Amino acid sequence: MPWVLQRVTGALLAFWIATHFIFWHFAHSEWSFASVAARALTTGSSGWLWDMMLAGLCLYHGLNGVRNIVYDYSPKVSKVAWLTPALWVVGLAGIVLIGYHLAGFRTA
Amino acid sequence: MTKVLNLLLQYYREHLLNPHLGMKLFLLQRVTGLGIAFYLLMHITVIGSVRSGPQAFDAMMTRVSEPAWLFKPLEALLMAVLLIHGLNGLRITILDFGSLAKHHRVSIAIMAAAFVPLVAIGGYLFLTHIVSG
Repeated sequence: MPWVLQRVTGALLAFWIATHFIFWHFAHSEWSFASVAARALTTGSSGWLWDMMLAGLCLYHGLNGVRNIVYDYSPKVSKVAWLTPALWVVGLAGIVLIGYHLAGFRTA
Repeated sequence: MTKVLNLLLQYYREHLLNPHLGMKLFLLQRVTGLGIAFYLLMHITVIGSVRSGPQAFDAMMTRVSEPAWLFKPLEALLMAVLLIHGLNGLRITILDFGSLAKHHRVSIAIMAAAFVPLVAIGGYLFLTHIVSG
């Protein structure tokens, strides 16, 4: 299952990161708080959700990638069994943290 | 430390046994993947400075964009790294799901051909539009 999801999230990321670059980076070149917050407000909560989906895809794909590398070089799977739940904790904490960060442009 | 050295030695031996280009791309996929993960950690930290107030955010954006001679090339490098990881990932996915493994040589050629214009366009847009972050 993670094998398939790594490819599905990877393909989705190629598309999501393209939209991220176009909206956040290529359409503008001004980086003050005022400018970023103004752009964030044009898309509102659905824009926040779009960004959060990107964050979720990145976290799953990235942390699963790290897991793949560790498992690849671990002679005993039982020795690194703690890794998967630990990475889920990191990922879920990450998504909460990013959601809190990004809301800072829309509420402040 | 010895573990890391052994790992590097193991990589070296694997590459002697399998000198095909696909093996180099396999290693490159891991290295670029770890690099992107590390970059995103910094990206989140930099953007997260907004929670310390608008002034803190503006100060942080200045700190990660000056001097330009250092950060601009790093951003162009980021674009190249993302494109390598993304194109190679799509290449692997298409080969896997399409049962096209026998065409892996052609797929690498197509990937390389796509990389050149994309890194030129992406690199140009990065250098002209992105201050930093």
